[in-house]
Amino acid sequence: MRKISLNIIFILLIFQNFGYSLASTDSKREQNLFKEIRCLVCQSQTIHESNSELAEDIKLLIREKVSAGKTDHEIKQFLVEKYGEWILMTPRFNQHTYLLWIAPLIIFIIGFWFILNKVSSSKQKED
Amino acid sequence: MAGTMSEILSFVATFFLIICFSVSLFQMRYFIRKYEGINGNHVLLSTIQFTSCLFAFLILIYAFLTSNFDFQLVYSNSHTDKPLLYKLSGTWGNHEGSLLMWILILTIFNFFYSIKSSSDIKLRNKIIANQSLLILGFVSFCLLMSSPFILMKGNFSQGLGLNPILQDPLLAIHPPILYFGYVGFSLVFSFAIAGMLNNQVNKEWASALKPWILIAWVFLTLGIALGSFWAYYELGWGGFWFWDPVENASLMPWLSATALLHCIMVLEKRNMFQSWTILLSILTFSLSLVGTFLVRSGILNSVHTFASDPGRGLFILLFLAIVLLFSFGLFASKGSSLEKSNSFAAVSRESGILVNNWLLLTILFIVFLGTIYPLFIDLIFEKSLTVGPQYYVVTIAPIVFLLLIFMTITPFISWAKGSISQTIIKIKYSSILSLTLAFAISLYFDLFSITQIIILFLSFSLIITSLFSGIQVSKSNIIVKSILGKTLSHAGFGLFILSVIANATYSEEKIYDAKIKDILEINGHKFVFEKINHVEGENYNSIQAVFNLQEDNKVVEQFMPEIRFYNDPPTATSETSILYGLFSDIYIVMNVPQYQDSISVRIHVKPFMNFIWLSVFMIIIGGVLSIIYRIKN
Amino acid sequence: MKNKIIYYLPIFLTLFICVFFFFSLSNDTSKLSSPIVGKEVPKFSLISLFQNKDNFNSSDLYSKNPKIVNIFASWCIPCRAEHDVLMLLSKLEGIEIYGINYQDDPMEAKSFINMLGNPYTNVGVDEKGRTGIDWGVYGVPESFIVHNGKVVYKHIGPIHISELDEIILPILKDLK
Repeated sequence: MRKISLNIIFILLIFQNFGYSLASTDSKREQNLFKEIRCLVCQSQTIHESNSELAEDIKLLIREKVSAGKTDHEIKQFLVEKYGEWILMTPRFNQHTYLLWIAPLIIFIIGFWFILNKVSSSKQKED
Repeated sequence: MAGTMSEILSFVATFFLIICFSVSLFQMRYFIRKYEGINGNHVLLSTIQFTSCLFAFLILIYAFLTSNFDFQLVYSNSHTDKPLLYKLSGTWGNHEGSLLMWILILTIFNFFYSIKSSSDIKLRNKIIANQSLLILGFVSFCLLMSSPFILMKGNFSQGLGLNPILQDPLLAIHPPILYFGYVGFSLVFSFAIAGMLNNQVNKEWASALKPWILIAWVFLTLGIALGSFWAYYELGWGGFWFWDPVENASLMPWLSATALLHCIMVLEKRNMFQSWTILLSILTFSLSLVGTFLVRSGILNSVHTFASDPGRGLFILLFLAIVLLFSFGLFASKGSSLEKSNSFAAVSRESGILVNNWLLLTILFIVFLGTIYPLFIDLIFEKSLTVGPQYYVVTIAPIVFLLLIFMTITPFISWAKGSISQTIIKIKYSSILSLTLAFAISLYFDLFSITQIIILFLSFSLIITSLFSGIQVSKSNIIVKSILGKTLSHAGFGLFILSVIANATYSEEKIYDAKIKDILEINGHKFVFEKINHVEGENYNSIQAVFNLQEDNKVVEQFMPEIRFYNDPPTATSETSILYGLFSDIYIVMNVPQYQDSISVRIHVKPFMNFIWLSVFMIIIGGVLSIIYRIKN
Repeated sequence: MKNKIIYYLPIFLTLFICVFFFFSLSNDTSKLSSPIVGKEVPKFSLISLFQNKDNFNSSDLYSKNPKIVNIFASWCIPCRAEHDVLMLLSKLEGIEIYGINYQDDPMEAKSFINMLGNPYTNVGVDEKGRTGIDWGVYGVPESFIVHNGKVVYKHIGPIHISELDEIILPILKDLK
């Protein structure tokens, strides 16, 4: 149900004209920020890639905050408070994501240990 | 009421599937000790399995081509206005149809194996029995929960159409090719089960299996490449890989399969790593199944989701669970007895291949973790989390770095006991050449970052070292030519990494609000917005913007991005306009028009795209060469 | 013995993963929990859509009686659909509905209300949509149940009559 209404909203939002013509003057910093914020009404796009209404609104908001002198961290924190962690494309390092970031390293080390094991046990066979 | 013709077709098709079911059930007799050695009519039976599924599939195709809306599937997914090609591809552009195709391909592999097999009779029988078991399972799923032949209760003269984004020639062949990859590993899986049951995981088993791994691997690589290329020119986002859950679902079996391809070499040459090979065989097919499950169950948000139907997802999960528990259970009891140890030194081809497996499977773990982590967090903490591309890039990059190094040197290390000094001698010249090239390019293009120079050096090393060994080989006799495929694939991989990194570093994008006569500039290129056209296509209307690329005030190239408006179902798509240049692509996309007189466009400059596609092509051709060599011998 | 145990690892991992997927399937992932639920309402002061009314301020929402904040726009078709439900809701005893007119033309919004009825105690004009973002809004319509200045529930999309009975009314009852 909710998915259908979101789709309707999304289609409607595409066809609204509110003339945001600032795009070509965005700074590198702003563009990079846009690439890190998820478009919430699209399927896995950033607000940089998306043309939806909400994406444009959030871009405007970010531009304002950048002009007001806020840091990247403050801007992201603001958006997370309003929309949740999932608005960030790259997960931050916090209690929920320790596993995500550390597990690859652990597996890497375990794999290395396996190889050492295999090689040394094979050498024993030789002797 | 559906017409009599449709009722007959539906009945006949279902009947064919039941025939397939019955024969598959019968083929499973080889699991029983009494019949395991019978040298019977397996070719005939496999032919019946294949042809019955084929006829069922052809009936479905016929229903789509003739726009027979008595069939529920045709009604939901087709429309008389659809161009013929897409009526055809509509057959598999949905859950039920693609499932039937999956089944058909299962029978195709079963058939070709039956006629080609030179394996030991008992082994061959068990393999066929296992394939038939898989066919049985999928046909049951199809008939019970996802029959494409269900008829509508009523008369409909028009269908609901199909998403216009899927009406694309490349996308029409992407699923079949991808499925030949996924389903090809079913045979690999069957080999593993048969090998375990008969305690025959040895050199002969490995030799018989290897070509099938290659075939499935080639199809999978090609399928993934086609999907990426489609995403590049169709989606208009400038990229070709987004670490989207379904993309990841195709990458995972590919990684596992590549590891298997290397691991089985050790089994073939030195009769080692039996249990690991079996494990990878089971894993690869399982990942193919998991990929299917993720797509069809809708538990992930993705552009690919066919059906958000937990009921279907449950059935597939059950099927997956049974297959995995059975095979891993077998593995638990038989694994240790399979293993035969042989000796090898710390510096040897064997340990090099172990490193290969270690690196590839770590990447596999990362991709798997990143894909399911949001689900995990949602389940446990009821929070939503996004694992975006940056995660994968950051975690996988160091591993790729190591991969480049080891791929370069391992082919030159001897089996059993290699020598570092010997290896260095062999790669001396290519390494020096690579280093020189790396420095030369850095100087010429003013690249001063150490990382960039190292990346250049490592990728060049891989490319040049591989190509050198390939060239040396082709001068000598055919026996040694077997490594030509490998050298091409390895060189391709080196080129791939280099091109991807270069492309990511030097891509540019600009967004403009353009009015007619405006001049848009990017990267030294000048575009003039000439006019707007209105175009009528077969089943759409479109607004087309014409941009002229000018050099020295002369029009060099024209770009015509469009916004298309379809009627059934009512959707709007944005069509990109791409200039495929030798060293760089230029890419213009239109956003939905905002004002009457100005439109919003994005212009992308994407360097080295051709090299990316070329490198993938090299990887695939390398695989094909290996297959050809094997068949000739 | 240690050797043998390792061969049992895959089957245990598989079991674990299958169980995980099973629970994921039965878990309704479409419920996006909003971070604003349980927090204080964002601070805002919007000019009223109606000439004869004062500003709609966040302080208006601090009361023992639960209030509903409805984000809507005249160009939004699902908003039309839910309007009847809002009219119904507004007639219930003790329920006050406030509107935030999101990214809209005030004239169009006024005619929207004139045509379909006015369930709102007051409506704030949010032409730029900045207040909407403060509420964590994705699009329109969205509705919030507020109690004592805290957001108790967020409803995404139009409120259907069934959802009124099954979700909204029970929450309102609990709060009284």
